[in-house]
Amino acid sequence: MPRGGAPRPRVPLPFLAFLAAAAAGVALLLAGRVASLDETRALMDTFVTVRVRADDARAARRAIGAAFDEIARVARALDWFDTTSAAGRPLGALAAGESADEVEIARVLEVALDVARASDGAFDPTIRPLTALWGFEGEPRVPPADSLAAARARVGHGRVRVEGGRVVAEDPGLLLDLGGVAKGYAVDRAVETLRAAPGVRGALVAAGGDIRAFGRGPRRGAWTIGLAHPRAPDLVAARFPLADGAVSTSGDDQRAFERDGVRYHHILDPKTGMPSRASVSATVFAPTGTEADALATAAFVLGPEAGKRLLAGRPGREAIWIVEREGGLAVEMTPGLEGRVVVDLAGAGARAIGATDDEPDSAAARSEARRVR
Amino acid sequence: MSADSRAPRGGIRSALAATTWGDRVLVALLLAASLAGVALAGPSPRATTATVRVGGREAARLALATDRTLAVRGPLGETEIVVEGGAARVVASPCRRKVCVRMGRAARRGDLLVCVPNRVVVEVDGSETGALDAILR
Repeated sequence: MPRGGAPRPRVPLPFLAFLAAAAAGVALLLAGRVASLDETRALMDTFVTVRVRADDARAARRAIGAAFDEIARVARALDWFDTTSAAGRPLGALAAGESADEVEIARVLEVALDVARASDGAFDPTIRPLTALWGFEGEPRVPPADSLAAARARVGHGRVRVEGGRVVAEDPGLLLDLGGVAKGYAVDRAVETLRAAPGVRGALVAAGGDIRAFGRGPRRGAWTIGLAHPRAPDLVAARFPLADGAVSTSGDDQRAFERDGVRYHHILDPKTGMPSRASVSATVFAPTGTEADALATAAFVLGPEAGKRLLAGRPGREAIWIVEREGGLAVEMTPGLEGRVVVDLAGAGARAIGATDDEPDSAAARSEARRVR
Repeated sequence: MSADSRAPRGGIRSALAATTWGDRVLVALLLAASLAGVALAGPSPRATTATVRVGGREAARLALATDRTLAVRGPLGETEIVVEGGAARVVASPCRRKVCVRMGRAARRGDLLVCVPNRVVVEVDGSETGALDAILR
């Protein structure tokens, strides 16, 4: 019932306070919204995706543009295929160490040589005479034994070092193949660019087998990465979180060819000059993309047993191997990853994408998506 | 009596007169909060995959884009699940109360169909790759 002429009550103070607090809360919620943007471009012989979470879309776009510019710059600076570039010439021509490109090459080579020494040459950035002989970049071929031996003699990470930011080559004829580090380094540089960009809260850069991320992912936690199945690229063989750090993979499914019923792939064992058969794929976690990239190649060539020994001496580095065993695939990983990686080699995802009419029970038996503890 | 006769003419005015400033602020706040909630959350996205679990164990994972019928065996017998038009639903179940059958369609991410007696859970979600931020290859 209306109270007629009764005096209206004054607005009570607690209500005003409540109103102010609620308004502030809504404003904070709205301000907390972040713009998530991603873009993919073809660079460095692969598709590079940059995903950014920023205060607003304009900041995200600007940061993504800057990241791609940086990747393109690194691609030019480290172009070891271009025989007129600093990275493409024999190392003897590098020793001056004066140009910006030479400084950058020395920086990358320092990490690469560290991994080369630690892995006893399982990864070797001077492997170019061998990769050139196999022709993986153009018309691949199986080289005859005598030319393999000759090329092997021209490979040797022990005959070059980096001192005071300069490349010191004892063998001036050494040639660089930065295929095992350049993309990891480009991803590092892109992430540094994104970190410095205003308004960026988190980002991920993925260049094929090399990914680095920082900040929060789109689901308020770490970023979620899937490892493509080496024998069925549409499927995911493993998934894991990635917070601040890098992960790289080397797999025998990339750049492979078949001759006389034998499959050859591009990850060569520098000691034999032949494709390494120790792994199907090796995936390594490390703080930087450059190191993860080099370690992934080393871990692939070494295989799980020797690879675990290599990583045991490097705290904070972890790895997952997929290997062939008893006619099928098996997974091995370093102890630090236990409980963090979900492996599904049988491919439960296959039925998520393709339509099969499996009996559910047999489907369950085959999928066995197992959480590794 | 006099209040009733005035009601049809001055309904809003009398309703306003019946409230205090505190009431009005509260109503305005609740309205603003609910609008903000809708604006922030938005509609939940459509799911692309249905994961079927029996007794906690994954029995099948189905693409919602493909229409099909699937029967899974639980402790009571077979629960029949139909995927149709981008949604999953339970069409037949050996349980007594058929709650799962009456749950209807699951089409939005996070929707669940549960048959407690037969220990069958159907959860619809993003695709295998949809929930990933990047693929390493």
